[in-house]
Amino acid sequence: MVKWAGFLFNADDCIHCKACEIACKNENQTPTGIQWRRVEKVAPELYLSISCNHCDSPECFRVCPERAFTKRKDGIVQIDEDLCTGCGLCVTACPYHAPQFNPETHKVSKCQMCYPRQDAGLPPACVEACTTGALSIVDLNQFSDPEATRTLPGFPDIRITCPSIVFYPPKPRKRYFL
Amino acid sequence: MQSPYVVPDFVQELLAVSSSGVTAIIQKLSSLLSLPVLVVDPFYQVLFFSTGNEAVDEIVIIPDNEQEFSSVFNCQISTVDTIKNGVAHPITVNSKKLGFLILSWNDAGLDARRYEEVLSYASSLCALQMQKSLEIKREKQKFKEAFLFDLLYGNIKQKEDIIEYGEIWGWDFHVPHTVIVFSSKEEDHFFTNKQMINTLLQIVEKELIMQNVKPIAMVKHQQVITMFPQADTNHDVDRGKLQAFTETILKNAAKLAGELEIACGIGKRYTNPAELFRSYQEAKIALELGILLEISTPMFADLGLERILYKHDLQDLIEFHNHTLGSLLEYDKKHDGYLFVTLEALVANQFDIGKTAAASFLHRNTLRYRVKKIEDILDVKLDDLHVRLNILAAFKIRQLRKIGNEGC
Repeated sequence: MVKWAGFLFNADDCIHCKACEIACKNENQTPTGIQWRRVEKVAPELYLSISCNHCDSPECFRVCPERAFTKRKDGIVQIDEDLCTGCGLCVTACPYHAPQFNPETHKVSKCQMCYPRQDAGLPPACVEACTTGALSIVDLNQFSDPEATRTLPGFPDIRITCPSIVFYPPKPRKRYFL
Repeated sequence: MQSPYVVPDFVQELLAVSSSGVTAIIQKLSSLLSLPVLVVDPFYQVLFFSTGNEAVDEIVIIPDNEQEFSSVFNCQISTVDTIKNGVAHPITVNSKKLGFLILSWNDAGLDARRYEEVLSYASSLCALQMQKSLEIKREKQKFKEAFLFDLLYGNIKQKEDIIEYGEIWGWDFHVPHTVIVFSSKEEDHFFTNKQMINTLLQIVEKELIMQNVKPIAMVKHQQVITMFPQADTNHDVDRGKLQAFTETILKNAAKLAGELEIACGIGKRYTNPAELFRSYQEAKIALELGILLEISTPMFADLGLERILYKHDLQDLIEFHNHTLGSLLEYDKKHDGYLFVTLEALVANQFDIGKTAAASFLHRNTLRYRVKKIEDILDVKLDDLHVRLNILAAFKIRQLRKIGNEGC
């Protein structure tokens, strides 16, 4: 069976260091103001590292009039910038704000899950850079863990798009008095 | 001296022909027993008949349900003119039922037990052959699935290429197609019950074959995806055919899937096969919204307002809902008037007093009185089209966003 690449995010382990953001920027040389991956604070002590989720039903892909998006057999959603006319429909359609419009080039770009690295057997730059191992990549065809959830508080609605991401939700913490 | 190990002649004879396929096995069995033999699938549809498949168009197998799970059970074989008796033996591989081997006879007095051993042996031979065919089919399916994946994700850009590829499997992509998705209502997108999904695929393929359509169907994760050809230019006829097809599948699936509930979604019709990926994405959206709105055969084309509302900012929607229906909800909370239920029924019946009265078991005048009361509380006139649209939208928001009776 062909693998179904997806992200696995452990909410407890993310410390908001933004190493994933920086690694993504460094790997893809994205211009100023374009962030394919970003780390957001969604609740007190809850951070979310979010990029394109390479959805099973990508809305960007459906609405694009130029057919600039394609989905590989391993689930990675790619955009061909040469075909993009910068109409911005995908930007508004994506609930995760993954497609990023560049006002200088009038093109949209987005996370491509570092597919050249993956094709060479390497993990995506963000996953490799994650200092705490909060972000990892899994084969969703094989992945099964009763503790994992499909969404987290603060994460956009997953119903229509079915994003290729699973989460380990934060566990209740014990407080120790010194 | 020890007696030699004897293999019965019939075993040798059946084994000798087994490599030629199921038809050869049942023909040999039929000549050995001097009785007609047939093989049916798990849904009692005839697959092979010892006297040739052309004679089996009108056969219906009626199993005795009480005995179906035993190794050998009695059944009736109903043709156009006659009803015959029969005895059936399941064909199984690794406890998976592939079908049944059935002996047919005219007399009622034959002893089924006499044939149990030979039926069991012949069933095992049939099972091996059927399993082999199944594996070959699965290998072929892999190439088919790769093509269908590319088609459903728009990876083949040229219409001509798609038409050419389709011809390999006998699919005519000159004809417009609509994508239909069937899936379980489970909320977990990674949930996969392979057996249930494969059964669903079988049901879809069988129904398409019965409608003289070369099935284009595949399984992807927990979905069964099919493309339904729509040669008809009449929009209403097309809709009717689509609905009838999906309803049949859902009905058959409900019988077989057990506790799992199956939902479906229907995309738009596309003439250009290179655009079929849009129909697939639309079908998936229709499926999700259909589950929320409890529509059994949701069509993407009919869900315009619902899609806009679902995608809209939640806070705005809640404010709109509370502004439109809030005062009625508050009144009901204080007075237990159940006016909200009346308004809901009125909306469900397109604001038709007669239909609503019949559906709610209320007298027309009682309903009129309640509608007047609702108008007073909401401070609107329900015959105003703008008010009706607002109320309809507010009810759709409730369904889509699962807003409770207390509002938000």
